[in-house]
Amino acid sequence: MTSAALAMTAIPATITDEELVARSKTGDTESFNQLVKRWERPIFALAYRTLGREEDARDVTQETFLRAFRALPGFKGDAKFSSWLYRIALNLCRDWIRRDRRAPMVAVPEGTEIHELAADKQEVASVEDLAARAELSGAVASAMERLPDEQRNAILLKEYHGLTFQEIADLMNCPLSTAKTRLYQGLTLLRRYLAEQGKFDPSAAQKAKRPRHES
Amino acid sequence: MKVEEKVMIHISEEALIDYLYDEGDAAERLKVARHLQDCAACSVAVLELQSVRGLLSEWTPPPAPLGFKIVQDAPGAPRRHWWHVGSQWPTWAQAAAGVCLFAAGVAFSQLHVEYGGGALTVRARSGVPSALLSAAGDITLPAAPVTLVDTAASDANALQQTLRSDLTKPNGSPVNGSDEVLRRVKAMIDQSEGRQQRELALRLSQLVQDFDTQRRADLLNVEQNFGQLEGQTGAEVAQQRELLNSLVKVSQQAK
Repeated sequence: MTSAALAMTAIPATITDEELVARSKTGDTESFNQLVKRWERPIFALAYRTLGREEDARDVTQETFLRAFRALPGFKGDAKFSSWLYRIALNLCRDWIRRDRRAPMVAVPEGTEIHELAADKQEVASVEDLAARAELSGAVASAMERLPDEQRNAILLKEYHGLTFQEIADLMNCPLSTAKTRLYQGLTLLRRYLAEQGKFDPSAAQKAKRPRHES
Repeated sequence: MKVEEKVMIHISEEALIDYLYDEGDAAERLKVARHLQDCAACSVAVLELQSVRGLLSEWTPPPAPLGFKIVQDAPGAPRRHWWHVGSQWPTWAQAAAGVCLFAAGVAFSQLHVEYGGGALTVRARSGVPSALLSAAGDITLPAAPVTLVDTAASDANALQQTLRSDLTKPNGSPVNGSDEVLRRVKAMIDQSEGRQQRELALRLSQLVQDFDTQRRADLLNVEQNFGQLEGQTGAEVAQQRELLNSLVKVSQQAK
């Protein structure tokens, strides 16, 4: 079937990434656009949490798909398509930060966040709750900003994108044990940074556990 | 707030992470679960990391409008580049564009540019044909004396005279062979163009030099003014301090 004929046929939602990649390689742009539609939101989220600016994240997302489209003929399919995209996006974020000669700015923009959070939730929350959540979100963002790149990336890929340890290790070109250690160390540092901001009370967990173990 | 120091745990970091994310070897995770039932320190460590994971879920990216799409030319369609745009124009339009470009080039080479007295002056030279003058325009901020050079006019006059002398022999008969005349005209035009280009380059370099000199002088002026301003401000501050000191003394004496 020619690429033009492929493009004419409707793309079923159940089609896998691998199949879409195969069709894209034959020149079927619509299949690639289906991949873009599936993955643009997660890639944007990863870029946003790494760079902290919506405009930068949008640019990186767009560039990620452009690069993926150009490099598609060379994609062997050894890793998942999504892992490949994440790798491209993280590399672009790293270059972006280096080029701007600045630390990643992950502060959550003021003013808009309350509405954004409100849009996320179905239940009606009070203004105080929304403000508290906005503050907490900002605290998490700034704590993440302080982490070393490797630890932050490991947490981002695991917590927000659900990659397996092995996928993270492959993506970061490190042994499996190193990926796990980075994750552990990152979480431990986060706990400390959040406690410094007063957003995490270490004694709460101890109190919650104490009665059971003291008995 | 006092920050809690690292808790001594009895589980390896890897095993703890496997347990936390419910991933890895199932038998190892079962071992960890059993250990946690008996060890308060390790249980607290796991609970704390679980709490941190809970806080991470609060960090949400904004709902940005995305909708990227890859758009590709139809297969077989020639790739269009910006330099191919002109090739789709009719011949007369391309010829007209060429003439306009040449006119603009000539007009630009006839410009006289000066920077001085805090103003940039751009003028077309006298003697330039009126059509070119209107193309070049005359931008002056404010009017300043300009050295007018008549090279274009002299070139045109020289060309006219040479053509007349060549086209008319001493006995009044025209020169045989129009090819020869065209060749000579072309050569003269080339010479004129080359001369104008050299002059343009020279004037541009002079402009850059003049601009740089003026900029340095302006910077020096600014620095001097700043120095004077600082001196004045310092003197005023000293006066005010003296006044305050005397006021304090007077008030103390009054007590």
